Amino acid sequence: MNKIVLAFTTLLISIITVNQLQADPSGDQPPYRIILNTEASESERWAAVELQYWLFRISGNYLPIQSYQAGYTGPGIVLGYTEEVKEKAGVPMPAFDDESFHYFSDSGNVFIYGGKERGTMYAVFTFLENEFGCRWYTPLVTVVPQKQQLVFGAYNYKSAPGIRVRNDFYYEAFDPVWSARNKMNGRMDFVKQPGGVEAFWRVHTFYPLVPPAEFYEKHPEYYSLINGKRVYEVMKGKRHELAQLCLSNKNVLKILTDRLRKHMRDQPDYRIYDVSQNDYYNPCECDKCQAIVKREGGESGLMIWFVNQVAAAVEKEFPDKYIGTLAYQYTRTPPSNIRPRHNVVVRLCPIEACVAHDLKSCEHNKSFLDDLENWAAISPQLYIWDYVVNFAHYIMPYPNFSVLQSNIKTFRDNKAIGIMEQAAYQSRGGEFAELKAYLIAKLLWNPECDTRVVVEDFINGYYGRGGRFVLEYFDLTQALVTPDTHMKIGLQPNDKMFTDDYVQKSMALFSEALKVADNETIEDRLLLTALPILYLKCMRNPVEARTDGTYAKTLAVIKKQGITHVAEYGQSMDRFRKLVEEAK
Amino acid sequence: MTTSRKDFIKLAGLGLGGLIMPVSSILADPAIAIKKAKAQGKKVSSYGIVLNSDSSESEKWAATELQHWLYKISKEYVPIYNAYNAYAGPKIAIGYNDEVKAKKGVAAPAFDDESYHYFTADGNVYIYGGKERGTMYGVFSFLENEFGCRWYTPQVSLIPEKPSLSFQACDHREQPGIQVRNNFYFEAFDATWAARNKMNGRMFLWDPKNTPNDGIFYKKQPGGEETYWSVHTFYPLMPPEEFFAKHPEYYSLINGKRVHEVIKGDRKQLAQLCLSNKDVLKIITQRIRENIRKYPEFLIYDVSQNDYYNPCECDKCQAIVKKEGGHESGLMIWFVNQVAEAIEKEFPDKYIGTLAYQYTRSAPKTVRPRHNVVVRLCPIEACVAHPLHECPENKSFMDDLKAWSAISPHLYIWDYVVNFARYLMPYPNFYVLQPNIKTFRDNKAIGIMEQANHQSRGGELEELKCYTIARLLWNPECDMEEVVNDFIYGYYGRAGRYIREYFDLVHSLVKPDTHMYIRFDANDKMFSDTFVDQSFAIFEKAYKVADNNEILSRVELTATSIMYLKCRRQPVAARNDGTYQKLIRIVEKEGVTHFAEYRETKETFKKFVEAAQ
Repeated sequence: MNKIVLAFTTLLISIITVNQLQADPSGDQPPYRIILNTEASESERWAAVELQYWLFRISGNYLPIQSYQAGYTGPGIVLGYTEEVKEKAGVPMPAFDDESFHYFSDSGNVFIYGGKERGTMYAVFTFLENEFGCRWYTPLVTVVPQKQQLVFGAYNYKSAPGIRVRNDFYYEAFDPVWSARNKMNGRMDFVKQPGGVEAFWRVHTFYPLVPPAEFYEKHPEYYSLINGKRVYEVMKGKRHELAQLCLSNKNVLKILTDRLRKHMRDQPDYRIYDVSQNDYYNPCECDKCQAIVKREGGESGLMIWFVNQVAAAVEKEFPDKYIGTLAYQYTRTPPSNIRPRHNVVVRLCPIEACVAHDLKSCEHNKSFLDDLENWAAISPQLYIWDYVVNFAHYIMPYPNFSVLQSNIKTFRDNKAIGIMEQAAYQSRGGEFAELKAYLIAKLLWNPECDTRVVVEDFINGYYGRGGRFVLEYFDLTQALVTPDTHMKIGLQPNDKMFTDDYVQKSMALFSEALKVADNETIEDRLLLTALPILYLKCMRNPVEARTDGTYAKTLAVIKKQGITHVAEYGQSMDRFRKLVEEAK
Repeated sequence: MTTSRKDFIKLAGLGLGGLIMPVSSILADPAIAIKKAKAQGKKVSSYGIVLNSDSSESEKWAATELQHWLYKISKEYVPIYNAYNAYAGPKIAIGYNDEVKAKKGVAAPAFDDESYHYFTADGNVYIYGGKERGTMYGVFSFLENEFGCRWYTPQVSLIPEKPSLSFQACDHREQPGIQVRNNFYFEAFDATWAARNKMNGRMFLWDPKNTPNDGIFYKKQPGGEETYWSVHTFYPLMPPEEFFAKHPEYYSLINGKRVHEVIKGDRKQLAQLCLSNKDVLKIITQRIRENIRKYPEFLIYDVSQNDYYNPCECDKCQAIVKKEGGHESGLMIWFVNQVAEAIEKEFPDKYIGTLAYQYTRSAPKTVRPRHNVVVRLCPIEACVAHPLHECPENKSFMDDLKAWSAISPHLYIWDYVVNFARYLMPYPNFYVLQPNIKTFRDNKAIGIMEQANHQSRGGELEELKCYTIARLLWNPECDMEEVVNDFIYGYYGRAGRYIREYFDLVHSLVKPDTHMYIRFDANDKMFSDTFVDQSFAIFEKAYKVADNNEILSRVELTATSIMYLKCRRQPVAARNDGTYQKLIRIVEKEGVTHFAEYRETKETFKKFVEAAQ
């Protein structure tokens, strides 16, 4: 958060003072200015102060920001599309929401432009990354080389997003400034962020939109018919389960459409509004519903038939919005007849997938891949809710790095306009959280990027001299995966992939890394990264971990780093402590 | 040999500057020192560094080094006490003492035993070895292994910073793999760097025109050195200007005439001495003896041929050669053995060194070097693309090495590890360093001198190679990949992974049919323009992520290799695209004065590029 304060402070200063340019020490470099179009968007203005700030951090040279039409003739870094760009690059003005960008140098000037919404802004950060070696690894850790002199070279670089909506669902990735700098634009909940976000409004919205508390008493027919009875909840053993809506009921369609429309008017900042089933089975068994199910070839047919009508009803008033729904559990298999409308987005969730191997190569994933390909064949676009951590043990080794890129490519090739990578979202401290959050950002922007380069860049930049041991640990951990290893989102510490030998080797690597840690800050990063191994040892050999100091060390790291969740389950920390402390 | 004398004089004078002063004067009364440290706002550690009342100079120096680096690490001042029982708190004991004896049951190591041992017991740390250098090496290894300290170059030390001082349990022993370790890189001449990195070997030349005096010729290094006095000493010991006019019979008979020099084409060459002449033996022996008396600090004193062929053809000499199977080395050893025998009684712990080089390279048939004679072999013709024992090009040297090692009590190796004609040019020989050092060790080498760029800093991957050689000479079995990675990532920071990429690229140039010698040029078939372009692209990436200006300078100095190669291969392009100007700017900024051992100078190089059309 410090960074934001700094950045905005700089904005004020830059507007007030124009003539503070430091004399170039060599005297042979003309002083540059950052030149901004008068019609620059808010994100372009923000990008200008960011550029000014980081160039100052790099070189100690202060480049004033000034308006394009102020008559300045010296060299400049020109932000945003201008007449000059049109002339030199020979391209028409990019659309407002075009996120692709281009930067190039010409006659001593640097031109950086893209769509006004976020394109130019992304260009500025990419320029700083590619040409000046800047990295925004985490919200707290930025690595900026220091140069004696600011020298601009010859550039000509273009980039375009590989995935339109990029939602990196890590706790570390929720920082809006970090997100903007790393080209993440997707959100579940609307957040103010430089350049704005493409937000997906909620999930499992049947009851939030048509609450049983409000309607059931007078209109039980709005809810599922189960075993001949209209119900809004069902007892399965000792557990309450929610039912669903009766989608063939005309009033349900009307109420839900009205409520959603009102919601869209009240909160117009989202891109996609959800109309989807509760997080249970129990669909309606009434004759009318089942006739549609039969006609359309599956429960998903009834769902799409219903959601299509909602989408058609709101389209005129909201032509640039989408209605989202789920293909999940009982609706996961696509219908045989009906097709989702052009403004409907079906969201698929590979929650049962094996993440030891990618979707394409593992037999465990064949059924999901079939559904995905079938949905892609009949849909204008899809949205993916993917899972990239172990939700049962956030801070345990989870070697899924090798599937991230391949799966993102599979989603892209199957018409995904958006991907949400759900991770450890409740607290920092998940296994390789900083690295994975960063890598996911890079992959969502460019699914073709070289993963190994990103991983090595991060590890060497973030861990300093200890980096090469972390890379060794990284490789050791990823090598736990063999063709017959299958790993799901609830991997357990007693899984056969883990061995005491692996734990010992990893501990030894961290002990080497800690010896060469450049300073206490990097030592802390290393300890945080070693936490999964400490945790794994506590879970596998709790008595030994308690007596040899591993457990105490684990708690010390957790405390120092302010980690609140060791799993998605809310009471996970207490559960962990109890398990280790009471083990005999 | 390829080293010019003038340069030796120059380099011998380096690094003196009052750097090493007697340590006893540094060690103050601990109570006063603590008071002073407190007055400076320093936190005083609960630990104490304890010496023995009879600690050696190098042990005392090691104690001050330990104090200095521990302070850098933790910002905690650890006081030094002059006796191991003078401090009651937890301690780091330097040197062998009664507690070590009680805990480990070992006898005191010999004074010159360079092996060491450090361990923790009862909350204390014990570091000990031989008093001469063993304990001192133990201290530096302790700081390296347990605290991640590195003394990469004389200018660059890497010291982790820790929030506080704490000692982990440890128990570690080491011993030297090679007895005399001479890292002959310019930067390795720094006495402090050499001591910290366990280099103990030196070589000095004697130039009769510059009469030796202690200030220039003998540079004191913490813990002292195992020095080799000179090479090609026939004429320095028996100057023709002193003897030839009256005694031409002291010199080679060539084509029926006694000569002290020979004209070959348009070049003058030196001849040699007539070794069968009794007076020659007498004079040489006498001069050597005088020399040892005057300069007793050396371990080995050289009696060896001039750096030319032209041995004596007289009947007496050739009769001995014939008896030795036609090997001139037989005559040489017969002669040197007599010198060695003559001085042995007065100097029982000194050696007489000689050369197996050029016309004396093959081993003699019957005569054997005496126990106090050291034969020095020089694989100057070797291919360094492949290890000695693997390359057919090296078979003849290997045969000679094995033959000598079979008949000698010990050998000494003068090895070559850079391209002496093109110091800056890429020279992928890292993967032969370790196997060759092992080969030398396995063939009785008591000393290895790795001759490198000895005239200035700079040179291809100089800092890395210099550091790696130090590691390998101490421990020929060490994990070289680990050493290389440790250096690269420590020294080049974020740019390290690109330097590693370049390192791998340049070594991938070596193929089974690549042969590479101590002189080769930019048009060698191993290089290609693609290689040059790929290397430039890698360095471009490295510049961008260089953490700061200091690291950028290191990366740029390393990139001079590829700039130089481009200037040599495509001088016009290099001049036009700025490569040449950048190279000159960097070498001037970094003080790289030599581009080759001789012939090429910076000026002739500049002329070459600037005149290219």
